[in-house]
Amino acid sequence: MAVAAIMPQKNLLKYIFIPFWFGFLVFPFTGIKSAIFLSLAIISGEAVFYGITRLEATARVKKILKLIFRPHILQLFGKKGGGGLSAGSLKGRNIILASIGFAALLVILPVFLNNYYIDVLTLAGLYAVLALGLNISVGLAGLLDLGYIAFYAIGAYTYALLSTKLGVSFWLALPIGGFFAAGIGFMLGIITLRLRGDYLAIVTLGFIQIVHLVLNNWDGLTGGPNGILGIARPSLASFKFSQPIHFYYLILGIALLTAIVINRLNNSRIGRAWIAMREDEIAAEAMGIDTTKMKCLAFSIGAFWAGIAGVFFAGKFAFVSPESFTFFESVFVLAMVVLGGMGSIPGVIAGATILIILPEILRGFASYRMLIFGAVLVAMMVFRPQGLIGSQRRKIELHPEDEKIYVQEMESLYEVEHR
Amino acid sequence: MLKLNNIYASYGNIDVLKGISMEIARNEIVAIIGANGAGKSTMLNTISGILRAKQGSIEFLGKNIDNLPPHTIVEMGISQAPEGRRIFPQLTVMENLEMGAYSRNFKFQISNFKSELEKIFQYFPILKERLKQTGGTLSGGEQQMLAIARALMARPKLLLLDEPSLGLAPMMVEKIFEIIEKINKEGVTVMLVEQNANAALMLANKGYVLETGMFVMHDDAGALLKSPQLRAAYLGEG
Repeated sequence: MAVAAIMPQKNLLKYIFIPFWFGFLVFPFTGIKSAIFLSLAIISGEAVFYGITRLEATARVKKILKLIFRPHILQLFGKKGGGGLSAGSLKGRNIILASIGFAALLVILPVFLNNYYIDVLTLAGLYAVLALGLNISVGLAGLLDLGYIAFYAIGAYTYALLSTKLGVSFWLALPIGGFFAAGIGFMLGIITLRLRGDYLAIVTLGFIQIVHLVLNNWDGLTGGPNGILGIARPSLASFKFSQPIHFYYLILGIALLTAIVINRLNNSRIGRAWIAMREDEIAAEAMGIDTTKMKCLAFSIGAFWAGIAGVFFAGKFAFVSPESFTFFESVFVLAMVVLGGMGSIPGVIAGATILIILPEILRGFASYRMLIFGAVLVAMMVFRPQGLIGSQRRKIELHPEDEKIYVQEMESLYEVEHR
Repeated sequence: MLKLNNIYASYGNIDVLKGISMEIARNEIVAIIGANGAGKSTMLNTISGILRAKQGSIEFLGKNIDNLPPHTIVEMGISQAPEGRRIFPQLTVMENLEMGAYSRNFKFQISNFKSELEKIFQYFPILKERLKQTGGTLSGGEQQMLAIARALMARPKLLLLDEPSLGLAPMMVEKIFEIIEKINKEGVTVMLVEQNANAALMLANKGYVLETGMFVMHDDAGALLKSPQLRAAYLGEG
């Protein structure tokens, strides 16, 4: 709370200056009126971001209130005193309740929506799976992978070819596409073992270009720029997936599975090893972590989920072409991971949802759409570089009751942010 | 226990170690003294397997380890507190310690882990208070303690310490050296790489002096401390 109180004064200038600076930059293209309008729009956007920061403070107040009222609540259930339940398990139960509620909402939601919105949500789910997979290499293991979409392409083309040439069913192709992409990911991991940071990014950039060129030019296999048509839609016994809502539930299931698996991985020995490797590779090596294995594992597990997403993509649209798998897509998914909060599962899902839904909401602005979209990204990175929902690990690890450590942590975070 | 035999190591074309041979017996403290760039850290990294020796052999408990990957070497019982501490700044102290035990997670139970932690806290009581803080928020001395504690969590037979006194106040150096002595008394062999020749040799049984990749002197620590050559070069006398 202390931090939230300091922030506006320190940032006031920045909050006002940046939008107008942005407006100034664009006014030659948009005219003065639109530029001012844009600046004001960014300022109102900032107010929302500021609100999110405040929300964290409000959440803490609520938590304290809950702690105060806890004994009474427990008495309602016939237990005496507060000894029975620790604050931790109460918090854990709330999280579980909240997730169940959220899942129920996602299940019920499409019933009230028309096909257009369901399609948008399906796309959001698809990108959530992709972003979760990329989050493994970028967010956890700290390997900047710009060629991630190549695995998505590999998954999509695997199903496209298996379906049109061999008539393999969607459900069988799902794991095949995943494992095939994972295998390629493993190979890329071996090749890039000694590379870090910028150098790794450039090699993976080369990788996506290679895959894109192969897809575009190997006419005999991939159909070149025309792509592959007539891919079979998934079906279960006599039930055929044809309506948008069917695909919505399918991707919801896949996304849920992805989130659960990655959450388990995150908290496992392997997840720890990745985080240690990201923090300091030499120290991790000296601790007895097999960094070779861990890097290849990070690449291949990330690629696995991209492959799954690719198979789903091919199954849903019944058509694949190289256009869908460009470097820009890679950057788009990376933007989701960074915007949502690297290493944070709910963050990454939120990032994917927002980046898919935002351009749709902004359709009303017609040609200014992408401009505003860009402005939101800029504002986001300036004011909340840790992402929408930053990684929770440090907060979970700390005692929620221990105000002193919490404030200290927040302040050190704050310093890092403003360095 | 550990035997280096005519080790050569290099970064690219630059030879850093030029034919090093040495031996450590069980339960000893051996000090390696040398100036900046003499090759001290390179030597430790070569033993740990992080850097490959170009030539020569390293024997640990009668087995050749010069071709093994670092994680196998840690499992065999050599762990290192690297130069500049290199703790994981974003992980909590507890998680840092857990990472130290990474190589043995499959082999021991949670209860063992707890008793192991208690043992560590006897050496470093301050870490117990800091358990939930992230590594980056510790002071320099505490970070050094954490680095040593983390290395101990692997339950090494041989502990490699790379300049534990680096950047610490004299009082803190004294404290850390006391702890190193305690650790050694519990049966851990220690290889201590230091620029602080006086403090290191006071603690050690044996000393080696490393200069531009070669050992120029080696003797009992007491004898080395009296040697006028060493006193002139490293203790600023004469």
